[in-house]
Amino acid sequence: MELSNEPTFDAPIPGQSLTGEVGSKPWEQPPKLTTVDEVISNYIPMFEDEEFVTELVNQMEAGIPIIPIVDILIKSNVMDGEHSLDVGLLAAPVIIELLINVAEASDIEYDVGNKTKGTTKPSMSAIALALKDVNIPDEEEDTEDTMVMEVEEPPMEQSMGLMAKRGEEYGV
Amino acid sequence: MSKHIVKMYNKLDADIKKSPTSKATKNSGLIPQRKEPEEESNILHYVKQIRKMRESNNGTK
Repeated sequence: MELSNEPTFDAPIPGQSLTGEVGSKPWEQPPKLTTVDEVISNYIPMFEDEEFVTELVNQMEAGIPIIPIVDILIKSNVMDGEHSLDVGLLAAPVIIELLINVAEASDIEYDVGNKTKGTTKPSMSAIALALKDVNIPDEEEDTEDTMVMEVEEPPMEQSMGLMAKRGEEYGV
Repeated sequence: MSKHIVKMYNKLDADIKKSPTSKATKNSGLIPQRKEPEEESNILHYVKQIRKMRESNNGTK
């Protein structure tokens, strides 16, 4: 992607969101569902929609962990003013379990995303540390030598003035 | 928010895996001890039910 150096003035200015009328956005309204039971009973019918389930299965099959999917699902419902964020958070484990059910029913490999993976790949910092210990002296030394050879001493200028040291004026 | 979800899910998972213990609230003083929030116990119940359902589904396969 090419980034232009010119500033863009299409973006909203800071604080612009506060200039709208209060309550004009769905999330500024009181939530429709206020209890965990209501929220869960709102989510369960979603899993009966074939198109929705197919999309979920595709995402899980692509390797996207379940928790970020649930996160997006909750946030989108908060944006629609269905429920508040805290009630959505409380209902999250149930939605995770429902998604696991969907994944197991469709025989796909899934990742819940709640465990830190034991990485077989070394981290970048470990690689950097290992490289620090490895000796790669030959090339470096050679380059240093050539650098030394290339440096030439500046020619001595003979001082000819009255304040010159004795003997210098004759090049002694 | 994912971090909070992970935290909550792991805590719930640990609670379910833990052997059930009786939590009798003592009322020795004038102020009774707080009970566990009902919402959480509701969620525990839901999660347990869904897991049971999954296990039975896997068993029939």
